[in-house]
Amino acid sequence: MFWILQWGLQIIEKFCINVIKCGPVPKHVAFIMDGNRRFAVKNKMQLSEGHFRGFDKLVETLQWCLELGITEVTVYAFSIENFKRSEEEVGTLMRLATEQLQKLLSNEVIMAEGVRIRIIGNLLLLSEELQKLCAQVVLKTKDNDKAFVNVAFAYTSRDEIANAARIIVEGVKSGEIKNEDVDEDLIGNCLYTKNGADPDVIVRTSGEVRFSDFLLWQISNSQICFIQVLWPEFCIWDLLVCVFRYQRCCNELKKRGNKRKNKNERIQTFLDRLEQQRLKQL
Amino acid sequence: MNTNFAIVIYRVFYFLLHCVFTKFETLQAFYKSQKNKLCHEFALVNDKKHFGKLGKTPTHLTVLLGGEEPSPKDLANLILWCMAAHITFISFYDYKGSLKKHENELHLVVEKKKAATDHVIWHSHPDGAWKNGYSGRKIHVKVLSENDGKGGVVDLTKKLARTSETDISIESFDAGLREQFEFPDPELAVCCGKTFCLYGYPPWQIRVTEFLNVDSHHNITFNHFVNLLQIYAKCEQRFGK
Repeated sequence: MFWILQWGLQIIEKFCINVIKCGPVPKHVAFIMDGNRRFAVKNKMQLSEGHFRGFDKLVETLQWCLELGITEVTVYAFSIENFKRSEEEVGTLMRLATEQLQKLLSNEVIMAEGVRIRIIGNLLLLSEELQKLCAQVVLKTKDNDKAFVNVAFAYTSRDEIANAARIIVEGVKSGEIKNEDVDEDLIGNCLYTKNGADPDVIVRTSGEVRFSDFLLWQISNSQICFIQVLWPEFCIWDLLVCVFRYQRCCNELKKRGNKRKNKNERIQTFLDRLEQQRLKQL
Repeated sequence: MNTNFAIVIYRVFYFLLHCVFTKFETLQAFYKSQKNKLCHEFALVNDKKHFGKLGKTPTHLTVLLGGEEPSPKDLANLILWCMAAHITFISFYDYKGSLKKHENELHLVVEKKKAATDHVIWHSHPDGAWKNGYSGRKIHVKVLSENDGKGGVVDLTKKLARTSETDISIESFDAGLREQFEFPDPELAVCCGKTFCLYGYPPWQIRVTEFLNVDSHHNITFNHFVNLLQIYAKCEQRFGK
């Protein structure tokens, strides 16, 4: 009896996904995956179990996104502020990250599906082992171009913006670029997220209504979705509602569309040099 | 043939879905406007009675007008209600820039509505700089536009590039922007309009701001305003921990 209901539900899900796909679908969605610990408390589990469930939910969500046609996803995995948590919890999260990155390296589906993984954040704050793993995953997938997953790890937006400003100021002082070259586009091109587009939608679960230092520069034009459910309880219907809300207002958002100006040669050379440097570092 | 048929069905349902939702939104807006007409507005309110029970109030409340045209009478109400709630700073963000152009209109409406002992300090006036020694209630008001957002970060970066400053940390950058922004970071932001979007609001300052969405600031009621403050008072910040 139960499996008939499940099967019926799957048919309805498939149907609704296809209906929603008739309209505009955001190309890039950002997720603040909040609520793992509250989920664990609510269900009387260990905190680490809450984080594991959260990770499973992430994998599931990525599959739904691909099905809907959302080709780029950015997730807030670990904030620099989270280092303030107990040593035990930080240790659990680092171990979880290490395990999953190791699995990713041997996962052939990622390469077959053409998924490019980028890890954004101040990676120097992580252990050497984790830094190496991150670099390996990023380098291995760097030529994939069908789907993009950006993982914000050891990240805060202020750190990212200050870092971009630092790079630009150094560039001006060394004469590579001039002060008049400095504009919003240049700053955007010096952020950790420079290779991707800005998110069309930003989603935060667990009912909190703030951004906690995540992609503050990049979400200027994004549709905001605050959802009550805890992250491990996030389901396909929640995602469909977000896409539906995006469809209701994407025309208004597009009116403000950002036009990227053409870069002059000086700026282009500067940015290319930065990219080379970054690759070498990896 | 089968797939084409399926596509047609999906498109029909898609069209119906959005039609039904539009109808629903129209009915909801009509119902709300009728309800609001029955409420009376008070520009002068009794502070303790309405705000006594709130655990915490924001020091700086910011209002994002979104795509809406500014309504001076409602913005004036918000200024006076904030003053009554002992909110020290209020700012309005209008990405289109029309509020900045017609700010004088807002000044006039506020002057008419406020009590004689109330002091409203306008930060857009160069001589609106603050003097000390006011008794009575006071509030600082600022109108922001798109240049104050990412443009502010660009300006600071350019400024730093011209100095001999080599240490650019989050703290020093923050200090520089704080000087430019003049107000402390907003703790509470009220976004107006059906589209919930930042529209280019200054990115640096909204790190831990709580965002609440209202359908419109036009004819916003006092009860709704108190309700927003109540929601804010319940928010619990963990700051990463």
